[in-house]
Amino acid sequence: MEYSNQRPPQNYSQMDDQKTLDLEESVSETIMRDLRMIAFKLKYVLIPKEQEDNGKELRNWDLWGPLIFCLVLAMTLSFKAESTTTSTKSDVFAIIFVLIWVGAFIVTLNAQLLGGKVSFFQSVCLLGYCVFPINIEAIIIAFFGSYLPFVVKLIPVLLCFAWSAYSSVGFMASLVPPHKKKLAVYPVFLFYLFLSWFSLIV
Amino acid sequence: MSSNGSALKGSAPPPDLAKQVLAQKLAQQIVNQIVSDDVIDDKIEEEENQNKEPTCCQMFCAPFTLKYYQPFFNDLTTKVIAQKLWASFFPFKATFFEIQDGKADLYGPVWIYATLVFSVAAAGNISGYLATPSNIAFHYNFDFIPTASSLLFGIALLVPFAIYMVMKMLGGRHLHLSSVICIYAYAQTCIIPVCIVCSIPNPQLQWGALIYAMINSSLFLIVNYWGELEKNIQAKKHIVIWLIAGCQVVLLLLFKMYFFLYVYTNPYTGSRFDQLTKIDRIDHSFLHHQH
Repeated sequence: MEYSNQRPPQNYSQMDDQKTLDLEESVSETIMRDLRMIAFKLKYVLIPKEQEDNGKELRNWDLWGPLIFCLVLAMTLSFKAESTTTSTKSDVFAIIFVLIWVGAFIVTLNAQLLGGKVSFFQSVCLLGYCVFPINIEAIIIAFFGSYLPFVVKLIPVLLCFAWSAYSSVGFMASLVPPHKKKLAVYPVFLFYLFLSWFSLIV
Repeated sequence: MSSNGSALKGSAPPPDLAKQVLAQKLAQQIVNQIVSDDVIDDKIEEEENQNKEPTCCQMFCAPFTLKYYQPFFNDLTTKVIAQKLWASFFPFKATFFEIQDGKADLYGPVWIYATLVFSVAAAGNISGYLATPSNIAFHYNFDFIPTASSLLFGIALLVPFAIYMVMKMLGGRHLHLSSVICIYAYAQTCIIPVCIVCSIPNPQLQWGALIYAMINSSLFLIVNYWGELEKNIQAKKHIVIWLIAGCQVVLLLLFKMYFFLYVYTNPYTGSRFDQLTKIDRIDHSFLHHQH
């Protein structure tokens, strides 16, 4: 999608008459507007060239994007999980869901405790958006995994893990003082490693 | 300065000017003193306020605020954590409490146990996968993750608490619960490389590696607490030593028997993760007989 001036789509209408128009617009328009906003943020977060203003766009955090990616990942992996007992599929779904949200919570808390001055939800939003490459690799492996030997499966896993980690590390490392950078960055690595491991073995 | 011929009476201006400047400087110093006194007074008042009895609500809700844990992360640097991790692999040197004057940190416990959960769950499954014969389907056991989390984060709090209470009751001094939790967590660091080694399903290798981990972690704790034990708990220090060593033995037996157990093979399918399926089959055949 092309944006001529790189401004995000308007979320909120300022004027009253536009507000009533919002209520009257069709559901598809509202949904498309939200989807366009998610797509814009995704491009912003994952393609570093787009960040001209050093992450200020993230101040308009939203949790829809992370929720969608989390659900897609959990559903992909739980469809693919073998059902030896009926509980395995729901186990996988529950583990992935809890892992993403509790993991993002703990990683953000860690960055805050180490002295990073960032709003809690901004960081959770960023970590959630960076789960998107893991989604891609999960879908690739879900569809083609049974035909590929293990070593070939490793390549997209490592690439997507590196992409996720690289996108979020830039932001995280800028939050804390330089002598604590590695301390703030390691939990992010562990978080995405855990998720990549899941998409590899399921 | 007095070279211009304006009617200046001899040396009057410099002393006056100098006096003025001196008076100004003096006045400024007095004001500074007053202000800093005020500031010191304010600080003293603040400290007194803080030392007053906290309200009941404040006492109970404090562990739920972020500020409560801030002191444990304040002076951390990457170098300090690296030093502590490195020290945990050399149990014969009692240097842990000399790093940063023994200041406890909570970064180590949280992330060491998180890494351990991941390593143990992954290594346990890898060793099971490599151990199942190739004609049997391997089923990844997802239960390892919640089990490992509950086990490790449970012992992270309970065992240090037990050690702390026992040492305190036997007369130990200069002990803080937070520092016991901290050193106990760093003692478990050696289990992470041991897990990677244990992913090879050879039983002798696994036992050897786990015994090394057990000895390393117990020794680390005992050697670092030796000064404390010698000074304050002379007679009964063997109680503490047995407690520490016993907890480590139990933990590593649990690891071997649950995560790295591959000797059991299900006679129906040949895979070790099919225990539930075996029970299901028995139930179904039983029900089948009843109808």
